[in-house]
Amino acid sequence: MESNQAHGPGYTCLALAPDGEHALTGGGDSIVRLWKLKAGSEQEPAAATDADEDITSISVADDCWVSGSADGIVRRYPKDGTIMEGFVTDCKASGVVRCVAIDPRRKTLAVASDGLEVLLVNMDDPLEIRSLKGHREGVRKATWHPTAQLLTTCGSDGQIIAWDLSDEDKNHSIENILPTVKDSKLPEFQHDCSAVWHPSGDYFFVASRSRDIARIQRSDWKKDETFFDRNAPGQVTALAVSPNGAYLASASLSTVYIWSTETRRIIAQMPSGTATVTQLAFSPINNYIAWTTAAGEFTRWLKPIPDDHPDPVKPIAARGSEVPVTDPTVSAMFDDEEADGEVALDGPEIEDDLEDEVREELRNDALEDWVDEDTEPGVPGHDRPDFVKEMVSITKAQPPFQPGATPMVDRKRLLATNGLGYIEITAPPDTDHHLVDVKFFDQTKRKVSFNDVLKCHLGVLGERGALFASRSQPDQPAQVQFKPYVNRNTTTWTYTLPQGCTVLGITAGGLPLSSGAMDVADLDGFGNIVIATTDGDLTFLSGTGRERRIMGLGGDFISMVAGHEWVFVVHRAGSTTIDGSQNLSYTLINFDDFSVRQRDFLPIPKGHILKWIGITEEGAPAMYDSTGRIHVLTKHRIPHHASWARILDTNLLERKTGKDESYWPFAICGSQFLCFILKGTQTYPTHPIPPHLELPIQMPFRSGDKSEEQLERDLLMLEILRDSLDDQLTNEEIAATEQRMDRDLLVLIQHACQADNLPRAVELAKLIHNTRVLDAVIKLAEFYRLASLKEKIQTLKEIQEEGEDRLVLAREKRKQWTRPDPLPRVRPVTTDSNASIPKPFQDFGPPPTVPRPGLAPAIPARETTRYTTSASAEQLRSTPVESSLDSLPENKRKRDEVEDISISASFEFVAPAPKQKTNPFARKIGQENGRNNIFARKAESKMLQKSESFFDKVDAAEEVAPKSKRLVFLYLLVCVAHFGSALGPTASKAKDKEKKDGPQQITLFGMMPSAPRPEKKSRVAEVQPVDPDDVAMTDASLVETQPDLPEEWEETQPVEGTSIIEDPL
Amino acid sequence: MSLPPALRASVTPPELELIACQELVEIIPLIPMEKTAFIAGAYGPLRPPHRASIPIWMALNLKQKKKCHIIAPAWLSVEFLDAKIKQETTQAEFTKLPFHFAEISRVLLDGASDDLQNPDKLRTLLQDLREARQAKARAGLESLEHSTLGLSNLSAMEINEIRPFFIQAMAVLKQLHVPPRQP
Repeated sequence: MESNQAHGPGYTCLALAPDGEHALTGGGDSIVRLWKLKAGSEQEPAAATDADEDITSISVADDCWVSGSADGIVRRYPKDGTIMEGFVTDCKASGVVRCVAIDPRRKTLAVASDGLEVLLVNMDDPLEIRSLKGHREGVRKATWHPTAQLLTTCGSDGQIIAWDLSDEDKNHSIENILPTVKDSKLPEFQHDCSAVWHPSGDYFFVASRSRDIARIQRSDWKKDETFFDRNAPGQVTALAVSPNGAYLASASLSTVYIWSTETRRIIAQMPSGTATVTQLAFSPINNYIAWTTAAGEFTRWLKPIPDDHPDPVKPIAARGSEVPVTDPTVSAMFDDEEADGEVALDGPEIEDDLEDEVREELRNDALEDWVDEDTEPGVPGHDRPDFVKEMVSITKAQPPFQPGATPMVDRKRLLATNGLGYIEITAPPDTDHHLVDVKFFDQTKRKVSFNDVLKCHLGVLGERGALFASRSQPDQPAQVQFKPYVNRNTTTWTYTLPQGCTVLGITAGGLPLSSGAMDVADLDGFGNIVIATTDGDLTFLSGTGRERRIMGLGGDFISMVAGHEWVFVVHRAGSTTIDGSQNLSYTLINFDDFSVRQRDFLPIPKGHILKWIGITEEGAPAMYDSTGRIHVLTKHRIPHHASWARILDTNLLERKTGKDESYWPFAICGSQFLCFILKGTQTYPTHPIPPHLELPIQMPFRSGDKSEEQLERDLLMLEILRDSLDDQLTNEEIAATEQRMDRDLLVLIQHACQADNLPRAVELAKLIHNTRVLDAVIKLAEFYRLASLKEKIQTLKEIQEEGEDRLVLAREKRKQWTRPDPLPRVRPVTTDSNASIPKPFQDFGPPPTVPRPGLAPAIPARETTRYTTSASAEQLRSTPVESSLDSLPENKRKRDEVEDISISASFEFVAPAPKQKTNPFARKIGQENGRNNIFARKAESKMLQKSESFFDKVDAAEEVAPKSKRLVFLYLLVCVAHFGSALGPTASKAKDKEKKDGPQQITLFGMMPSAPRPEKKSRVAEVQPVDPDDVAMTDASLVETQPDLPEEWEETQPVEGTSIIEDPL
Repeated sequence: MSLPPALRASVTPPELELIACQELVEIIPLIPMEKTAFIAGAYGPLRPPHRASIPIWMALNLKQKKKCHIIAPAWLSVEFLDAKIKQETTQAEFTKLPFHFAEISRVLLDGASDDLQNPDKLRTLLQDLREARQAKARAGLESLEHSTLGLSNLSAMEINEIRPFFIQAMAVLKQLHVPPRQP
C-alpha cells in the first residue's frame, strides 16, 4: 500500500496511462497531478494548474490526455506532460463538465456535462462536434464500449443510455438500475456510477440502486447477474474491471473488494481509509490497483490479486479442449494460462482494422458464440490498445461434446438424449458418487438405474446398451463401461484406457431392439462401440468389448454419433480460421470394414458452432448449428455422393413468431423434429425435463408454396428410403409414399392447368411414379380443353410404357453406385476371338472356315504348295511347325484337323526351335518366312478358285460328272499310299501330297447322295486288313460313305482319275 | 336415478363427461402399441416418443396405468384462461371456449394433474370463469323471451345447467304471451 495526499478534500478523479507508467489525479484544488507509478510514495508529482475550478474527470489516450473541469472547459495535454496544448471544447453553456472519455479508437472524446446533451468531439478536429440528445437530466458519467462504436452514459435520474453511434435505431435506454442522485451537493453524487465494460464487450457492470453490482448483457440490455456479498455492505462507490476481465474491483464503505467475475465471489479486500473511494483503476500492465478518495488521497495497492489466483492482466486461457464445456471448473480453465498467454501475445503484426471489422461483424452475428469472454484479453478502452490487435484473431475453438448432453445445474445434468430416451445424472450432496438414471421414452424397455462411483462424465444411449465413460483420476485411469439392456449383469464390461489418456467422446451403434424373441436379439449382438481419446484416435470395439481397431484421427475430435452400419465423426482438420469459422468436417466410417464412406465439410457458417448431431430414423446423419438450421446428409450410402440438404430453419417456424424461444433438438423421426423448447436465453433444458415437442419438418423454401415444398420434401425422404433398399425393387412404405405423392402431383398439375402453365404441368407429369396416374392427367387435360397437353402426356405415357421399369432402372443405378469399380486390367487376347471376329476391311484372310470336316477335303488335291491350307494369318504362323510335324507319319491325322486353328496355334507355342533345324524341310520354310505373306495371298486366290470348283463339283455330283469319278480313283490312290506307309516310315515323300488329300476326298463322298455300291464295299473290305491303325478312321468313313457311290463309277474310274491327277500339276 | 322430475329430462353431468371424453387429446405414449380398433374408431399406433392423438377416455385409462403423459390442450393453460377471464369480464357476450371445456378440464385436472402446469392455479381460474359466465347467464334472464333464446358460445355444461329452469320459464312466458292479433 502506498498512499499520498494528492489533493484537497473533495471529489478526486483518477486515470491511469495506457502504458501503466503514469497516473493522473485531479481534485477539488483544480490541479491535475501526474504521478510516476514506479517512484513510490516519496515523489513530487508534476502538476497542471490551468483549470479554474475543480477537476472532475481525466481521460488518457496514447498521445495525450484530457481533463474536464467544473469551469466547463475540456483541456488537452501532451502525453506525460503538464503543459496545456489547448482547449478541446468549451461547454460553459451547459455547466460543469462531469465526465470526459476518449474512445478506444482514440478518435472521439465524449463529454458529459450537467447539460442534457452528450457531446462527441473529434479529437483530430475539435470543431467537429456531434451531440447526443436523450437524457432528461444532467449526465454524470460516460464510458465507451471496448471495441464497438457504443457509448454508455449515466444520467443523474438513474437512466443509462447505450448510444449506438453506427445506428441510432439501436440506442437503448436502461432504467431502474442506477440510483437517482440529482443534487450534486450530496455525497452520493460523488459515487462512480459509470457503466464499466467488461473487456469482452458482452456486458458491463454498474453499481445498482439495490447496493449490489449488476451485470448487464449487451445482447438484450437486461440485468442477468448480480454481485452481492453480505460481507461487503453499503453502496458501491467505485468500480473497475481488470484488463483481462477476470476480476472486478469495487469500493464500498471504506473497503476495496476484489471479485472474481467468474465465481462472483470476493477474493480479496483492503481497507481504503475513512473517506469514500471516488474512483478505482486497475493497472493495465501490473497486478496493481489505484484509487482516489473524497479526501483527496491517492492510494496504490500492490498485488491485490493473491498469488494463488491468475494474473489480472494476462489473458485467460481458452478452455482447453480436454475440458468439456459442459463442466467448467475454474481451476481447469486456468491450467494452460501461461502457454496461452504467450501465444496470445504473438502476432501483433496482424492488421487491426480488418480484425476489428471482422470482430465487430461476428460479434453482431453470434454474441456469445464466437469468442469466449475468457479468452478475451485486456481490451479496456482506456488502457492498452495493443491488446486489441493481438487477441482478436482467436476464434474460440468449439470443445468436444456429446450430442444431447447438458451442463450440471442444480446437481442434475443430462449425459445424453436421443430418440430412445435420456440419461440423467444426479449428484446428491455429501456423497462421492452420482446417481445415474437411464429413462426410455418407451418404458417397456428396461429402465437402468445405478450408483456411479466413477462419476461418469460422458454417456450415450445406444440401441443395444448404455455406454458411460469416466475421467482419469490420479489413482485411476479412464474407463469406459457398457451396460447392455438385457437382464444379465454379467454382460456388463469395462474397457480401461492407459493412464493419462482421456475419453473425449463415446458412441454406441447397433440394430434397434426388435420386439421379437430375446434369442433373436442376441443374434444381432450388441452392435459397435467407438471411443475417441486424447491420444488422437478412434478406438473401435465390438459390442462385447473386443478391441477391433484403433484408428488414427487427424485433427481435433468434436463429436460423433453411430448408426448401426457406420459412425459419423465430426472433427476439425486444422484449427479454427481467423475469420471465425469453426472449420469442422465429418467422416462417415463403416463399421464393417472401416472404410470411409463420406468425408467432407460441415455446412456451418462463419461465427457459428455445431450444436447437435444425430441420426434420423431413416438412418441419415443430421446436424443442427447455432444458426438454428437442420441439415440432413442425403445419399450417404453411396460413397462420396453425399450432400447436406437443409430441411428445416427453426428461425422461420410459424410458432416462433413473436416468441423468444429456441429449440434443443434430440431426434428427427420421419417428417417430425423432436426437441425441447428453450425459453428466452436458455441454452439447454434443465430439470425437470419438460415434455418434448414435435415440430413438422419444413424445408425453408423461399417461394413459400406449401404444396411444392411438401412434394420436394417427399422426394427427399423417398430418396433416402430408396437408398436403403437393397435388392428389392420397392417396399410398402415407398409404395405408399409414391401413391401419396402422385395424388399431390395431380393436384399441382390441376393448379398448373388452371393457371395455363403447360410447361409446369408437363414437368410435374414427368415426376409421376405410376404410369396409370397419367390417365388421370389426360382426363384433367381434357377437362381443361388443353389438347396439346393431352398429346404431350400421351406421348409421355407411351415413352414410359415402352421404357424399362423405372424401379428396375433405379435398382441398377443403386447397384452401380455401390459396386466397386472393376480393376483396370487388360483383357486377355484370345486368338479365336481375333480369328472369328475380324475387323471389317482389315481382314485379308480367307472367310472363316465352317466346321464341316466332311466338306473341307473337297478342295482339289492337286496343290503345288502345302501353304494353301494355312492361308489365314494363324495358319501361316503355324506352318513351320506343321511342316516339321508332317514328316512324321502319325501327323497325317493331324492334317485332317488343320482347320482347328487353336490346336495348330498351341502347337506353335510348344514347337521347339531345334526341331525345326533338324528337319531340313522345315528350315527351308523358316527361311522363307519373310515371304510368307506373298504365299498367303497366292494361296488365297488359289483357294478361292478351288472352292469355286469345289462347289461346282458338289453341284455336279448328282449328274455324276466324270470329275467325281476321278475322285474315286483318288481314293484308290490313297489306299495305295496308306499301304505304302504301312510298309515303312521311309515311304516316299512324293506320295505324301496325295496322302494328305486322301481322307479329305473320302469324306466328300459322304455328301454325295448316290446309290449304294456293294462291289466297292467288298473291295474296301479287301484293303482294310492291310491298312495300318492310323487310317482306321478314314476307313470307317469309307465304309459308311461307300454305299452312296453310283454304280456306273467303276468303269470310268481309271480313265478319269489319271487325267485329273495330272491336272493340278 | 333420484333426480327431481325437472332434471330428468336433461342429461346428467356424468353423461356429459362421457360424451366429452370422446374428444381427442394429444399424449406422449410410454408404451408402443399398434393401431387398434375400438367401437369408437381405430386409434394409434403409439410409438414413443412420438405424440399421438387418442380419445380422452383412452388417454385417461393409459394415464392411470402410467403408460402415457397427457399434453394439455392449448386452452388449458394459465395464460389462455387469464386472457379469457379478462375478456369475459369486460365484454357483454360470452367468450368463445371449447364446447366441452368444463368437462374436459375437470377430467384432466382430476386424472392427469401432474401433466398440467400449475394445476391449482388452473382450478381457480376455471372456477372464476365459471362464475363470471354464470353471472352473465343470470343477467340474461331479464331478457328472456317466450320464443327464442340465443345461446352463442355457451358450453354444453352451462346449457345443461340452465336448461331445466329456462325451459320452464319460457313455457310460462309463452302462456303469458298474447300474440299480436291479426287485423
